[in-house]
Amino acid sequence: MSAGARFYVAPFLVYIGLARSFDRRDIVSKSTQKPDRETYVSSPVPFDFGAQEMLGNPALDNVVTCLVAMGAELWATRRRLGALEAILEENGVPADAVSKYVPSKEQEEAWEAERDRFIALALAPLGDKAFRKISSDDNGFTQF
Amino acid sequence: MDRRELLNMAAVSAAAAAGAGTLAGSSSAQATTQAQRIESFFAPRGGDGRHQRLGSFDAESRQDFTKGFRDMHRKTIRANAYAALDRLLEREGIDPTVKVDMKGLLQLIEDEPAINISPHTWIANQRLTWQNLQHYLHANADRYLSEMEAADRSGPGTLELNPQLQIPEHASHQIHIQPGGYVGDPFAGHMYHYGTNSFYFGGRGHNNQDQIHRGAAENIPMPADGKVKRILDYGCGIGQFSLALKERFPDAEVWGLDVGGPMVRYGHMRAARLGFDVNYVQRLAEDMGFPAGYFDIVTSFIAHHEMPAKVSHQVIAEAQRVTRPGGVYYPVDFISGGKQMIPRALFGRWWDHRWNNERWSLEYHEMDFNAEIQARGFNEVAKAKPVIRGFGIRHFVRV
Repeated sequence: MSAGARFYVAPFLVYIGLARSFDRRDIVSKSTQKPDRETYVSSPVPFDFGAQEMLGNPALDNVVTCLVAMGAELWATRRRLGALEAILEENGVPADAVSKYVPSKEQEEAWEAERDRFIALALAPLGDKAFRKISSDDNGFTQF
Repeated sequence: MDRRELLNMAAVSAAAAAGAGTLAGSSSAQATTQAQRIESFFAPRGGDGRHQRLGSFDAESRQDFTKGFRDMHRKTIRANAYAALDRLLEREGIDPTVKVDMKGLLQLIEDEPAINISPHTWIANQRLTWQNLQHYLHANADRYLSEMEAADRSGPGTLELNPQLQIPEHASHQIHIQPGGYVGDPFAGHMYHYGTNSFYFGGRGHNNQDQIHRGAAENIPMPADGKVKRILDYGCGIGQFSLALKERFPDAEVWGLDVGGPMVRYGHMRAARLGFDVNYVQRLAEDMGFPAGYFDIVTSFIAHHEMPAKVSHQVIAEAQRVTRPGGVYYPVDFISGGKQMIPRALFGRWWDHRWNNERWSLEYHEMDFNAEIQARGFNEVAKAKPVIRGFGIRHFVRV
């Protein structure tokens, strides 16, 4: 692998590592509780995520999972940026106002439209990328 | 019987049923107090109507993403996967409009990424939904636990929690792959509420003001004699339908019952702070603990597809016991009875069962639910209507 390629691939691998470490199956409810704090929980039946392989290659499954997660992080970043810009326009607002910022109804509507555009651009190709020919005369495309 | 006598006071409970009423019905002073409580409830980022915003802008943004992704998935990824399934069936000479065998269908699609990309991305988004919520709530556990602890002792409405309750194995599965399921995480109610807001948005519109539940409650039929003193909503989860029934029947005594302690705990907190006098209890639907013939209306809201068929039978029998003669029984749930086993429906049902951990849904959908109810002391009402479009019609009257 060239140095240039490593430059581009390394952050992605780091992200995959972070995504794995962020696996909330590791979060145990009791970890955040005081010993004497009643939370009315009981042990759930475990669910076997590990058996999940849908795309014929477990690595490909993981990459797709990461892509969806990355989409969420990117969207969260973009949404935060939108809030920041709005706040700057308003002037004189403390820095922590970004965390507390509540978008207006109009902003919500505009951002939802922007969200859908972003998701369609970044992730909708997942829906047609995996087309394989079902028959010899199948061009792999379906019109809707 | 006084409703307090029905509570197991050895269990943890909260009180103060007197007073308040709903926001719309409160006096000026009461409304001010209620408004202050709601404002406190909605801190730190406020609310929108009865919807409490997540306390973190970023956590809210991730939820916003998962909601949008789900909508896109339905319109694009799932649509393309179904188109690929249709082409595959065509290649195999299978009529897509006739019932097929599950095993044969699964063998056919197991090596088709053009089809399997759909459940995979849906599940990835579903896991992201739960992970985001669980991470945020546990990072702020003290605050959210303290809120519930304070609400345990507040009204209107009552709360009965039972730490000694033996939770059956069938109720301990992590349905919808929600971490901990309904019983294993102290914030199960919070997670369910925020998570299902995106669930409903996918196909049925917004529900952050309980629109779906309120619409269904408006359509619940009355007993023929018009008497509605007491209503039970079993398998109530976080009690949105119970709350909606209280809105529809403000003078009735309304009870929400669920096996999940964290679920009814959250439901009570939410109902109390919104000013609704609803009683929530952590009990088994198979053993409700109410006197025979106590209720005029008995309902549930999409609970039966989340229990084994044999437990459904027990629950129907128990519902029959607590419904008075002439009372209405209307368990809201999906159409069942093997009526939708064409390939598309079967494929969707299978991966929802296997990978979204809808543990009991296949049993439910194979069961003739209406026939099972009819066989247990209820008469089905002819020409009844569904309370929600596309759901099963389950209007029964206790014999």
